Amino acid sequence: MTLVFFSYLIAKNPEWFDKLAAELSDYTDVDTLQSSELEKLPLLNAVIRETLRLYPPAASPVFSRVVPEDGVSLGGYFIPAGVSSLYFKLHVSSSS
Amino acid sequence: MQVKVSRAAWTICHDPELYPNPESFVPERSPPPLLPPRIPKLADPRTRWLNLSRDEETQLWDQSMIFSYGPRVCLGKEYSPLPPTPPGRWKRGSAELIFRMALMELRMLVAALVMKYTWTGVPDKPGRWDQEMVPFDTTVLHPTSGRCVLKFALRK
Repeated sequence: MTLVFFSYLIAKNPEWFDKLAAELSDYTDVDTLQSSELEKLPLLNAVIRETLRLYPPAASPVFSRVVPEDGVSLGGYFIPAGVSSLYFKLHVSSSS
Repeated sequence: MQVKVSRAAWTICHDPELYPNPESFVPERSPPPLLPPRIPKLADPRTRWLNLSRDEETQLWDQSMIFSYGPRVCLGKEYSPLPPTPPGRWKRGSAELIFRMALMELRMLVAALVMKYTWTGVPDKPGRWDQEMVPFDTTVLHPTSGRCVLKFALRK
């Protein structure tokens, strides 16, 4: 999924394709690439960092659910429709 | 009382106080203020995100929680190697750890893609690609539309 979002971001920001291509211009053979070499390329790594920041693959700590149409009120809080929400072990809450 | 604490990487990574204009793609952005400054020079705002050392990057990953942190950390996360253990004195937690699978794979794939291809987006509904690509979170973040159609061409 990170590659999908990377490809999307680069398609939306073609100037970054040019920057990456220029940074990689010293390399000609895909088959001999070394990750330890690529680790030294600032633009490549900055793009990967920014992609992971914008789209963290494991965005939330537990499985989330989407609030249905009309939203919902829980414990005095209104949660709007469409919001991705989390809940924690309500069934062992000592206050209910 | 054993209190459990949790956090969402999404919330941290999109906090406008840490990352101004959090929804914008800005690879050259400055790193967020790190807390507490385990690496003091990162407090220097002139340090650009582009020029992070491996230690600095590790700290950034720790703080952003993208790979989580602690015993259940993602094995794909980048670690700095710990000091080597004296021979014959192996101790739990002191082995030299370099787990960098996810980032190594990403670097190789990203470099190979850029070296071999150019590409453009082919949205289902032209002009509405951004809506199609709004991320949706169930276990692994993915586009709301469930797809991202791209047209690749071999580079000359």
